[in-house]
Amino acid sequence: MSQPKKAMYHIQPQLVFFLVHTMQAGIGILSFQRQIAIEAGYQSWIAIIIAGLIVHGIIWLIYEILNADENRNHLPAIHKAYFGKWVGGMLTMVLLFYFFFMATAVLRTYIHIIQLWMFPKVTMTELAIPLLFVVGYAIYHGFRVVTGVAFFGFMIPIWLLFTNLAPLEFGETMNILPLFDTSVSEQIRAVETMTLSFIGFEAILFYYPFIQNGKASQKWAHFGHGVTVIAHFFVALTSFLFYSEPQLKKLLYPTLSMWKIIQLPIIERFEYVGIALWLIVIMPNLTIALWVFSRGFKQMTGMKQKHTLTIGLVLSYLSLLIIQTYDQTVWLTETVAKVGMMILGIYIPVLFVISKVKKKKGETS
Amino acid sequence: MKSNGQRLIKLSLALLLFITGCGPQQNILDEIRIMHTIGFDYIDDNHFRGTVTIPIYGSETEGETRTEIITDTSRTAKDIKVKLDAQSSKRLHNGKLQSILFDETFLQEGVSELVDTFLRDPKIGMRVQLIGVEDKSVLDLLDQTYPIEEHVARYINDLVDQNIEDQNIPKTNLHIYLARFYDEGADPFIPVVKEKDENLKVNGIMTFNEDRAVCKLSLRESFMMKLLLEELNDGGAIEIALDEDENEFTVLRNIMSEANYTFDFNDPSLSLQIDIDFKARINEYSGQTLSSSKLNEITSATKEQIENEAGALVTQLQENNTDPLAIGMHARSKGYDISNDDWDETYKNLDVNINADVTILSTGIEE
Repeated sequence: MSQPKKAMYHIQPQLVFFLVHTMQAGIGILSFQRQIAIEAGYQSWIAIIIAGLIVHGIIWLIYEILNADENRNHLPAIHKAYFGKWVGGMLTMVLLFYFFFMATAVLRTYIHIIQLWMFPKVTMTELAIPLLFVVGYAIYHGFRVVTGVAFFGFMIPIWLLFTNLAPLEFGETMNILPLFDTSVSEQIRAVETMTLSFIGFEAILFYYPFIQNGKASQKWAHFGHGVTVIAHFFVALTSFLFYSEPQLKKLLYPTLSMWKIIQLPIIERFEYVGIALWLIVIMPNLTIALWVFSRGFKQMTGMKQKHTLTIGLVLSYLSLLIIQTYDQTVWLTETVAKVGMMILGIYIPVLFVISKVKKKKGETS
Repeated sequence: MKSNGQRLIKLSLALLLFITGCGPQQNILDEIRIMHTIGFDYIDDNHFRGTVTIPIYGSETEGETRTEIITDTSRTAKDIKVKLDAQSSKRLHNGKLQSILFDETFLQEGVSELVDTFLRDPKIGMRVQLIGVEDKSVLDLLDQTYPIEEHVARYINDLVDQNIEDQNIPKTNLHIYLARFYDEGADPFIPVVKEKDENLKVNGIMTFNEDRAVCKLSLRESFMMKLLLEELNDGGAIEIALDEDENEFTVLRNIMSEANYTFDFNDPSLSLQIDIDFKARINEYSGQTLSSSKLNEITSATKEQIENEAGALVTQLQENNTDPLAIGMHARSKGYDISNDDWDETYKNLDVNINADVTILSTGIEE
């Protein structure tokens, strides 16, 4: 069964690197340093490393679950086998809506940033409709195109990371000293917050069957996540050196505000380049998440994927109509993050234990 | 299998390209007025006067590019924009704002309220300079032409930038102001300009306690602060008097220096040792030849003058309860807790000892 049936629908295992990394890097990296600094001050860089390691563990658990039985290598099938049609279906549904709201929250935040920073008069619809259209276009053409979006979502904007070197002109090393002046409870809270920046990779649970030789992709998933951790660590470090602590806590999007220090002869405000390019960063977030939603629904209901996709896009637009203010956007993002936290921290380990138990039973009987 | 649906999708996608033309708000240079400088004068507790300079770009009919100013009084910071816009034929745009000026009274009364309004605006850059104006109202300063540079906005900005980059003013801008304003371990400072004959000159810096200017430092004191604050590499110049009566002096340039802060936490009143490692080249010398004994004399005179003046500067800052040297941050970075209320008191009574280590690297192209 693990043998690829049709290579044209499959992706090479290396590409999982892009799928994992681009799904994690999105809106979170614009403001996570503020969140963790609120929890654990400027010693919260420790939490980035700890959270990074924990997520490596969760990736390992996910691969263990997926590899447990070759006939059930995606989540809807696993749910059906372990919990039956109804309970399993409900659980799958929860995860599908989790991904759906993840995409919606990302899109709403991005639109919010555009309205805030670039075009205060642009309406939500003007931005949402074209963006959802492009997302739908990519998903319509199948998972290989979705992977392509992820590939470009990494390759095109990755150089933006180096723009974070510019603020170091005003970097103040005293900000982060002394290095280990922190408490365990602070760090635990910061680790919790930090994990939220890493969610999204659990989409592997759905696209695993599309990977040629899935087992070989595990190291690429770890590698993709590793790059995410390094990028977050680097952004947090430059922010901590650049801002004083109370100043950082006042900024909504410290990563964007940091670009305000870059002034080029031809570009007075670098944020405009950065925010425009950020569209390419969030594109994989949207496409992968909505692909998961449409794919999952197709598997559950037997509808055609283009229909479930249309439902997803329309629903997404309708929920954007409800989320009007910044506070509502933050609420949605935080709720999605909390659910993500429970899925990663509680549900995945439980699923892992069940899969081990079932496997053992299967072997003994 | 090219279905009609697919064609429709492709056509719609192509049509999306034209959406770019329907942008809701365009900032075309001809249709906006770009503010380069904004200045505030204190009138009374409830009123202030705002002044902006805008370049009017020349065209075939309008002639050369010139600078115009718009000014009005207002009660709140938000209101001033409305009032200034009311006087402008085209929308005022603040994306290219380079400096924000305050008159002396304004600085003493506190600038937070005004600076806050700039923070919420994403169009404001972080390299904007906050500048104090001495002896004169901001309006009078801006409403003038200077022979050395046609546009007053560019003149003020370049003047301050040049003095920070190569001369005696320590590095600052809006970002540094804010970082220090919010941080309890440091206080901000801003450069001050003053009219001199027909031109302007940078006349030192103002240091703050919270958002109020409390202490004015001369150019020479600013240089001492630069020594204590920054790791210099080819910055500033200092004149050292060797013999006042004989009018004998020397000028040191191309200064490389570094200051190290060491605290003695065992001392109940906390004591601080600042070591300045000072390397420089002799740029000017008023005497005849520089013998090695003369060189030794210069070295020790420099050491003595730096130690005395830097010491006096620190005492002055302590007395005014302003910490532009970020001594609080230094203490915190060494593990001392400055978050409690008596840090201000501790800072005031801090026993500071300064030691300068002077090296003369070369004496120019003459013996």
